[in-house]
Amino acid sequence: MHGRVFNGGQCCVASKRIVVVDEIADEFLAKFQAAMSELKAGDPFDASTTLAPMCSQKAADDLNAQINAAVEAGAKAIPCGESVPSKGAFIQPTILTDLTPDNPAYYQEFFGPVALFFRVTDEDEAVRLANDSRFGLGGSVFTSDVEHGIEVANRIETGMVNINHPARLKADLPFGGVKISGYGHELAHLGIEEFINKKLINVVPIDAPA
Amino acid sequence: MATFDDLTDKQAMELLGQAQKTFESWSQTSFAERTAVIKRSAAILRERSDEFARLLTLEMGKLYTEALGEVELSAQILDYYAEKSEGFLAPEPLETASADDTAMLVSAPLGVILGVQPWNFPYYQLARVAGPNLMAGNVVMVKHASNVPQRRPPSRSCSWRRVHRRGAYTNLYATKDQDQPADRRRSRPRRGVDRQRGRRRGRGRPGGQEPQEIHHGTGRLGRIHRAGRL
Repeated sequence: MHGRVFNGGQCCVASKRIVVVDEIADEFLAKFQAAMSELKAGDPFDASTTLAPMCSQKAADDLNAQINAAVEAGAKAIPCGESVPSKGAFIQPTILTDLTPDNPAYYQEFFGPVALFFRVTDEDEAVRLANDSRFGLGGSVFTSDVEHGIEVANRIETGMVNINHPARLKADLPFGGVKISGYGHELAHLGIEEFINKKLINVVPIDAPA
Repeated sequence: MATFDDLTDKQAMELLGQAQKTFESWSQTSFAERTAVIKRSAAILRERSDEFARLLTLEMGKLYTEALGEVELSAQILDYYAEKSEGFLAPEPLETASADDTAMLVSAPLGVILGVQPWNFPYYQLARVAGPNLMAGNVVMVKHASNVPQRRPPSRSCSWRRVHRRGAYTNLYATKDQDQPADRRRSRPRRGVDRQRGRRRGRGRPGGQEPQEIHHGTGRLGRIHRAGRL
């Protein structure tokens, strides 16, 4: 849940699509919805506030329009928690389910506290769905079997995969993506090598054969 | 409420010229000197974290607690590069087949780097451009998103003022048109990297046209690239 709503959900590497295998999907959805319902919208300076407003009214209006379009195309919207204030560019925390590939929302990024929930039969389908995206920045695998989690991570087409964490942002962890999520890296040693002239200096004896 | 004037084209070109000139001296400074400046700026971020975090919350509505976290993370990134860059950029001896070659790779700075930055993590995005590039000897110019105009490094500090005065870090109130590379605005037909799409175009065009100037870039929500040559 934190991975979805951190920074008001306005994070490039937020957990926007949540893919859960069928056998735990109902329980997961119930707990996720309960957590989203606990969010408290309000003054971002207030320490008790846990849901920030959007960066502008336009961003909020656009996101609400995006939710409505998804519902019109067949998705089910689950609004979570008490109604957010009507003033202040707040977005009602929302879970979208029943998203089919013909729904435009299926391939869209929702830049706010709106989670796309997908139910799949097994791990192979989860990996297929995860990779069926124009984006390729970050991903997460949540599992109690870390070794197996690494195997799954190897099949995910993104620049970063965290096991059992939504997204670690640290100076010494490289940050980068593939597909339309950009190119190159920031942070760690990769970040400093982007704008460097890796120059060859070679010393050769003056009488060396050509 | 506050308003900020857009740069004129002339001002933008003057700042670019100043940055290019600064590169000539900044690129010659020692790692020790750069480390002192970057370490000091990290310390100032921490000393005045409340002030900087409030600005983030005021400008784009981020939770204040998360804003404080971002200021601290930015300081960690600056410290990290202040401490590690010399090692990252140390000359690497190369293994060569011929005994006649005594070869090494050195890491030389490239020049003026322009960062076109998004609004959602104003300090963090900045730290990950400024930290490594200033340490590498590059000079950094930043065009912030228009909705977060007040973010800038703690410019009242002595060390940052020195960096500013030298022009090693410049804040640009540039318009969207002005952040286009200077050479494009001079109506050159193409440049090496189309930053928006990240396609390299440097290897020349089919049909025997001359290769265009090549620029390296990285791209995501924000974009970073080497500024056009003067």
